[in-house]
Amino acid sequence: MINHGQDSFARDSAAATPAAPSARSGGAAADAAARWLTEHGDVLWRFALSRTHSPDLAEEVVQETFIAAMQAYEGFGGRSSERTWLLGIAAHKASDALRRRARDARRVDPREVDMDAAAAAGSPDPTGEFNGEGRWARVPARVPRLTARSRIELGKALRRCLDTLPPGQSELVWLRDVLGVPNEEIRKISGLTPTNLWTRLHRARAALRSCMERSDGAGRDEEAKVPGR
Amino acid sequence: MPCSEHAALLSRQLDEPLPAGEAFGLALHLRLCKGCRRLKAHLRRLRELARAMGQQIESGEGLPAEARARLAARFPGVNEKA
Repeated sequence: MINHGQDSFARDSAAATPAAPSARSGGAAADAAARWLTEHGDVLWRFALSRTHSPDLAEEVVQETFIAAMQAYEGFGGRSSERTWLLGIAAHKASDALRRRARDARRVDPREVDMDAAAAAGSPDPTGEFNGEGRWARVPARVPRLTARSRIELGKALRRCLDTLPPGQSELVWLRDVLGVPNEEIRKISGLTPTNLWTRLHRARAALRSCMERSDGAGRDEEAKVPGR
Repeated sequence: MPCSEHAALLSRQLDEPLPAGEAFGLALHLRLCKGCRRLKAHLRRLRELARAMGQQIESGEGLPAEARARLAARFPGVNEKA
């Protein structure tokens, strides 16, 4: 995840070490963790399982989430709901777990760097869909009608496409679009400015649309070939 | 305002109301621009599919018993009031 200055997502998440919390804060944080397991264990598990597709990894993610949250507990201060805060940490831990599993060295996606630079420079098009004048390079295809079967297929395609998003984007889409966490909550736990959040979500959704279109097989080219539509 | 900027507004509109001036400009633009109308439909579809996934997460099976037991052993809490 590219951080221009570490956002608080990453900070809270990175606070985790395997060491026990200090004796002074240990009691309150330890009690909190036991309570989180009761109150939020199921949703954290389901979220982690959705992201990692592995019960073993999901359990690891929940454990690492609690460890990180205990470390960061004193600084939490109720700035967002506890569940949202924990989900934010879990989103990060799940990304970490997936990266470890993939056995790739952490790589900087060069497109992400270019897009960050473009966004920082106020470029109107961080998504690559528009020409130099900001007009559509190719008009999007018509959205097909949903059937029961296509709904299932599209759900699977969305899963696969979510897995292709870079970490800085995937957590945001999981929290905002999948889990419905309000923008304000996401900003509190991530430390992102409103503009940064909109821009990242915009890019992420554009990447998802592009991926979904490719997996759908019905490309824009077919639409564009038919005159007068 | 070019389509590329309207596209950014359409994405933002999924999450919060736009300021009045921008909302009005966008609504006008959509009447004239098929590309942006289609984009709006795509974004709605994406949101619909994502929320369906979210509902499965919110309502599905929870922690398996053994996993819960292991986590409870790992995070027992210290507050053992009688």
